[in-house]
Amino acid sequence: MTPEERSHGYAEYARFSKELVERGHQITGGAELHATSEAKRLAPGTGAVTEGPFAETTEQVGGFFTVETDDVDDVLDCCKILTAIGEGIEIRRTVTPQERAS
Amino acid sequence: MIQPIEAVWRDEWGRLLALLVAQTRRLDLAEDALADAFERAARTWPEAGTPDNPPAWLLTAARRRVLDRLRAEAVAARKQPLLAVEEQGGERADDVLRLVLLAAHPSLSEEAGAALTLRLVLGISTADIARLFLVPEPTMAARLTRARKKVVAAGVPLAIPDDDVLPQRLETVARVAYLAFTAGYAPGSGADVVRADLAGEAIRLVRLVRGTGRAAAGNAALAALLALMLLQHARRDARVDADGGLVLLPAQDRSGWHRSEIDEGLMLLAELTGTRGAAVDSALAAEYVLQALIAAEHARAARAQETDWLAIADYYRQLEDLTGSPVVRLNRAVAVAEAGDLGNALGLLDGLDEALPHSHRLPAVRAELLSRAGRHTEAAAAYDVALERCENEPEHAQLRARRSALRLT
Amino acid sequence: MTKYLVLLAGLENEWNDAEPADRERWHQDHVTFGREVGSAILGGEALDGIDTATTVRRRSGTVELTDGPYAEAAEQLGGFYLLEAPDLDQVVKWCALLPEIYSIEIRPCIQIEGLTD
Repeated sequence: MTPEERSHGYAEYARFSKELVERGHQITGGAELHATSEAKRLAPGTGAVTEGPFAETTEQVGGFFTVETDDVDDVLDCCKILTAIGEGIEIRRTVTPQERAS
Repeated sequence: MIQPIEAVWRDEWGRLLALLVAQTRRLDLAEDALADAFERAARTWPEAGTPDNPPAWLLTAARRRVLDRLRAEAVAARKQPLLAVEEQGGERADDVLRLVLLAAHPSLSEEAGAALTLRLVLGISTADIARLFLVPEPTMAARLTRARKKVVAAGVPLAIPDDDVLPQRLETVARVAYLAFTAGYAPGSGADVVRADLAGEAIRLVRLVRGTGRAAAGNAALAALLALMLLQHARRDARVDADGGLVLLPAQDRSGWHRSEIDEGLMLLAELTGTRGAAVDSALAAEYVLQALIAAEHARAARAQETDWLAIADYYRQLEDLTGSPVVRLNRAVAVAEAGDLGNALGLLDGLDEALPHSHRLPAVRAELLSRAGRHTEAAAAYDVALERCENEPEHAQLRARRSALRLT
Repeated sequence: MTKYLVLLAGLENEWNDAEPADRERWHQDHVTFGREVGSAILGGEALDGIDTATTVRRRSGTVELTDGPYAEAAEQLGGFYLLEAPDLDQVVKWCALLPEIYSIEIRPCIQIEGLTD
């Protein structure tokens, strides 16, 4: 796909997806779906909860940028407070400014 | 260099087993005999040379073994229950589809179906399946034995169901593959950030099923699932650092993403959403398409800062409308927060504790959002809950680091 | 061919509190079922209510009777069919004809060699 095709495609997706849920609701109301196939998709409390391959809770949460600091001493100071109240600390270096994707 | 025998195993196991099962109607004998034949091949081919037609060789060897066992049973006057097998007449690709539909039958629990499908259709060993799902081998062996017993005793047929039921059955296959993929993409426990081999097997399964004929190739849920899996799987190498630690999206080296897989996923998605999406004909397909649309947003952002979080948040709202899933709502909260609305994001988390009492990701998300809101003491408490519940080592380490970085006054 | 016991379980008061129109509809479902399944039905009965049930248990040599069904459950048996079918999918297809208020358990019967029917 060319970049043009791609961005045009995405505009289509966005418009398309709004219809999706409407249709989904119509289909859900239809008798042709097997009863148990909907069991896991009901509102909370009515059935087993299914995990799925969602990036937001697997790859996004934390956003290191929000807690990351170039000031290592600053971080260590915070840790001293925690140590004082009896917390065991492990600071794990995750990504250096050099390694960070630009 | 991959050995010829390994290549044959990878490409032919499912098809050969399907043929044997159809002919013998004995799930147990067919599996043993085929495994035996491969063993024999592994012993003899290195010296005698690889035969001209390896699958035929293996089938012949397996059939001989089955006959031997049947003779032994006849002598011992033991009669075993037979599989219900429909009269043949279809094409060869139907053999594999029949086996898939047997292994992923809705009368089996999804867990049992997933294990049995990996075993029968992909030929993965019991030991490897146990490793993939993080259970001891005897546990997995028992799970498989129970599943086989259920299939035979309950009379699950080796057959292609009527056209009015086939789409649902294919969707059961999709759910099984979704389960396996999730276990590989986001392992709940253990030392791995991602189990790429399990995720890869789930993708291989869906490709194989889609190749069995028109019905499967045209099934929207399977197509949407493949798109979703490819888009998420493409990031596997960038998600882990040299020490096996977790690398989040903002820090991932995007040049390490597998572009060809992303392109394939986007192509599939475009086909599904083109022509006004006439192909999306079920609630499950709609669900997977929405998830794929979200995955596509991540895939097309050149940098983390360019991610269209508003679009993602909206897709999640629609997905939540469709499914009512608390897991979806949790992910939606993250998207809403990233789109800039911290207050609403925290609000979305209210009431989820009841629905997700054992999840470590819920308190982890809550902790992160509270931390961003400057409510550090509450954040620390939430991290503690998350740490208590988290059984995945790299995630645990990450949570510890984030808790340590809180500025407590 | 395999014999299957099809157990029809439901909430007792659902039948009792139902509108006559609903009961008529459910009755028709059974009629349709009987017609479609035909000679594959080896047996079947509607069961009287759980208030009429008696449970017998043997406890250290003595025979104990209790009033009511053997299991404490919200859903109780309301009827059964004994069917003969080539496979599970066929039974499932037939069960789709039965009244939607039931939870239906499908149990294969064990074939015992040497026993005549």
